[in-house]
Amino acid sequence: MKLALGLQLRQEQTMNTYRFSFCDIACSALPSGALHLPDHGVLCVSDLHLGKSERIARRSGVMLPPCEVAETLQKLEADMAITQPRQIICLGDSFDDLVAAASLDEDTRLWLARLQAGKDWIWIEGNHAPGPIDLGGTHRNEVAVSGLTFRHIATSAPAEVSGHYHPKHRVTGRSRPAFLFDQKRMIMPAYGAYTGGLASNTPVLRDLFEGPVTAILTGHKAIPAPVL
Amino acid sequence: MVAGDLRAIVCTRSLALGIDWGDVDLVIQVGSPKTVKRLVQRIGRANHRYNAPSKALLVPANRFEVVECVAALEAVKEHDLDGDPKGPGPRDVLCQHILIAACAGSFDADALYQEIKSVGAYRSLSRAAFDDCLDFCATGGYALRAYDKWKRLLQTADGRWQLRDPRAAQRIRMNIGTIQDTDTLKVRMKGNFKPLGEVEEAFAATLTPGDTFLIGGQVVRYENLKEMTVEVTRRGDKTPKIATFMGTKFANSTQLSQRILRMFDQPDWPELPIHTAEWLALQRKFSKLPKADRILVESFPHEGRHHICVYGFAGRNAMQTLGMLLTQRMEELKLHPMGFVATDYATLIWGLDPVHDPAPLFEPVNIRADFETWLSGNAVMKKTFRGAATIAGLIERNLPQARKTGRQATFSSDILYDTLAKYDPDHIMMRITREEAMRGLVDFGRIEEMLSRTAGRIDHLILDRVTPLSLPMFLEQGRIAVAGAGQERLLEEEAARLMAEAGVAAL
Repeated sequence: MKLALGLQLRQEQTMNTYRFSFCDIACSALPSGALHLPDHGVLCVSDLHLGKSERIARRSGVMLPPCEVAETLQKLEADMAITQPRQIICLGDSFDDLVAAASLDEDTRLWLARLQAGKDWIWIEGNHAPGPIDLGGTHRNEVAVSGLTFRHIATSAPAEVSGHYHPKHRVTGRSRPAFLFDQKRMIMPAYGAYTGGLASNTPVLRDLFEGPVTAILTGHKAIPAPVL
Repeated sequence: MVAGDLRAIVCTRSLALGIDWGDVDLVIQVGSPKTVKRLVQRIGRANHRYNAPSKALLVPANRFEVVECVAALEAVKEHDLDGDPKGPGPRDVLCQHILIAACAGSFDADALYQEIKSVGAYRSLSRAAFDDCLDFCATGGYALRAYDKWKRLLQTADGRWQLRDPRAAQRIRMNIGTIQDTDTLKVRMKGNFKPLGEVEEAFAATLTPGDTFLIGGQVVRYENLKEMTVEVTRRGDKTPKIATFMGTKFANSTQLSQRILRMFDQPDWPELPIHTAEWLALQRKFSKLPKADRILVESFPHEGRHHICVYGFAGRNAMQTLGMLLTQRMEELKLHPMGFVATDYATLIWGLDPVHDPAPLFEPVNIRADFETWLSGNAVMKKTFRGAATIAGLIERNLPQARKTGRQATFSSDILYDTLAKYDPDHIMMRITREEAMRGLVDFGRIEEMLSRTAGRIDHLILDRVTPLSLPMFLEQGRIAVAGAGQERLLEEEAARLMAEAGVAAL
């Protein structure tokens, strides 16, 4: 019974993902905002911003519900259960800053360690949390997968997947976090629970692209739409 | 105005209370005053002297408002005033007061509690409720004690409370206030620093470059949005749009609703202007006029959507709540409701599928059960939460300097509501939100009143076109989209259409 339910859940999740090809690599955009490369066993998530509530409390005194770490890791755990990846790439700004990373509680550290067990876990450097931290996994500036380069901030190099900008896209009046891509580069949406976003039509985002841009809206289901 | 230099002044309710200007000759009330008391108060602004009669001109904005205005005037003549008793002092305001007290220096909790109890609205405040608010200000009040290290308020050795970081005082002071402003944007001429005025963000969002609108007595052309300022140029060759300011909407009073329903029972309406009397007669001929002891439901098609119009006369807020509850039930029945709009007298719902039998939608047992589940995850609660959380100091207002740089700094308060609902549903902010919503935007009491006065008597009419009485509903601002399967379906269809148009259907 439990198995059947799990299978059903997995089928439903598969139905809600969007499969496409980017730089000749089969990709699958998950409705959560994660990117799955099924042929390479890679799951990529960007801008987790773990510890954001802690950083805001430290700096401004405003005490937001301290729930974003649990919310974000729960989402990641569910995505990992569905995709069964070999490698996890956290595409930068995984922590809101180093102090936030250092002040994760013991339960969260254990939870992260459990997720990392048996996986090739890569922390890409971001602008918020640059240096190495005492959590498992490898730290890299960028990582290459079958000709694709994964780095935090977009450059002019082709075949690149990056994050940083937290893109959002609007269709029928609803703005949602979205993947943006053209022939050469892809910008991933922010995966963290407490993250805002930047509209897809702002010049700083538009200027990153050369050809026609497609957005994949996240939410209940990954839905492609052109960026006009 | 005081010097007498201005011939006329256009204002919201901001000038209706507490200002004593003697030389106002005439008050022009646009739209329905919504309560009898408010009408009296507003008329009284004119010739504000003991020995001069006050004069006002009422300008109803549609036929329904004509009926409301006439009913309100009759009530004034009969000295039949309305109004509800005030409830206890809100606790989000108390939280803000505690924070402001801490900004002024350290305080003693017992003394502050005694001081607050001396305020009329808070005289029944329990010590436990006060301590809850104090704990919220100090630690966030979360079940998960997360902020031991970064408390907002600390207790010193002598037991007094003070800010952990005195620099926080400036931020707290900049967020003082309990009136919820709509976010506005400054408008200025390109290359000119001095602003022409302000428009609401919601209006700015409807503008595309080249659109023209009226501001400060001139027509300007929208160019772009730069650093949270709307940049415009002079002159426009298109018909100008009119900037809309939503302001706050009040529900009309129970007494006024009852008066209107009694008017509907009359055989004819000599007291009303001819066009309005004819409009009611047409409604009686082609459909029915609503009655106090029955719920009238009209079904008709319009612009490719199935519409139902429910006349419940429970006031705007309760009719809005009813709209939420009905669309939720319709969503469960897979009728794909798309959205609704509510006024004081009715709720208009549109969707992709017709409603054949509305009676089960109004089962009191269902409505009450739905209400409980619905309360936790809906837009009105989120809106109330945003207000309460801002007042209590959990969310900072969008200050101009923060918005300029706030690319990733701000995220929707809905996210906070959702996470609290999931991880800490009994948190003090959730309790305050529920209380405030129940007496404010949710107004469930008036739904109960409607259910008991109609007791399951429902008239359902299936018609082939928009009815006279439902017509003003289509002009109503404040349509609410239902975030359900219907919307997902439309979003998907629209995205697919755009993809096909862009020639990238086969990716």
